[in-house]
Amino acid sequence: MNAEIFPAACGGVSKGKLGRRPASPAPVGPGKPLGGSPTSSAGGKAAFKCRLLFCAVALPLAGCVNVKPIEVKPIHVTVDVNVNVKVDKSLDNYFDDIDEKSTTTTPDAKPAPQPAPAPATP
Amino acid sequence: MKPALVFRFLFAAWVALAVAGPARAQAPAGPIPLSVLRKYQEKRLPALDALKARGVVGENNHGFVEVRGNGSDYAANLVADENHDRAVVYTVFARKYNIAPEQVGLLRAKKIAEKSKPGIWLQAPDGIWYQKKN
Repeated sequence: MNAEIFPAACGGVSKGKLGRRPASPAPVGPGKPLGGSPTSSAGGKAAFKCRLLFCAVALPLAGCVNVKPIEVKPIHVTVDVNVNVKVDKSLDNYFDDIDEKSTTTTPDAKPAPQPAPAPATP
Repeated sequence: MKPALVFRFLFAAWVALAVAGPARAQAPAGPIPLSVLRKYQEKRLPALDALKARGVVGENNHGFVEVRGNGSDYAANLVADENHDRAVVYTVFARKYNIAPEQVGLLRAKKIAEKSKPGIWLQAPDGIWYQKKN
């Protein structure tokens, strides 16, 4: 069977080519990097081109990510003053007895009755 | 399974039910009514007042009492009980008027600050503790 393991274009090898590969790597010179440059062989060239193609496609796409700006909407809080008055009354109804018996609180200061207006004299 | 083992299991289950039954029956069926809570608070009032007068306990800006400094376990327990009852009361009113219990607590704290006698420790809205003056 001669099915390909990797596509040859990406530097892969097919089973049929395995036998033709050199038994030992090329001799490494004093200034030559190990493994050689990406363009040292035909397969390496193909792999390099494949990576280049991938970068050429992926990088522009990465720039196309659409980030929507976060919109902060104002929060409107309406405090009903009438509710506070009602709650105050309810609290007074509940706690008045306790506050009256307490030695650390003073009873509610009730407004003094206003004197009746003097009758207008002609 | 052996019959003796089954008998032991049934006996243990019966004992567990016999113990748990009365305990559950003693617990209140629903929420405690406010009138009952008020009685608890009135009963607690002299002890709480004594602690407040001594400066061991103060009224914070959320409508609850707080032990100031190193209070005893007795003071801590008393304060915890009182705060529990107050929290229930605030929650009841909050549900009634569809507001947050914290808001009810704030209103109560304001009222307590107005009504408190001189010498009582209070917490200002900005969080600073002070002793009420004349």
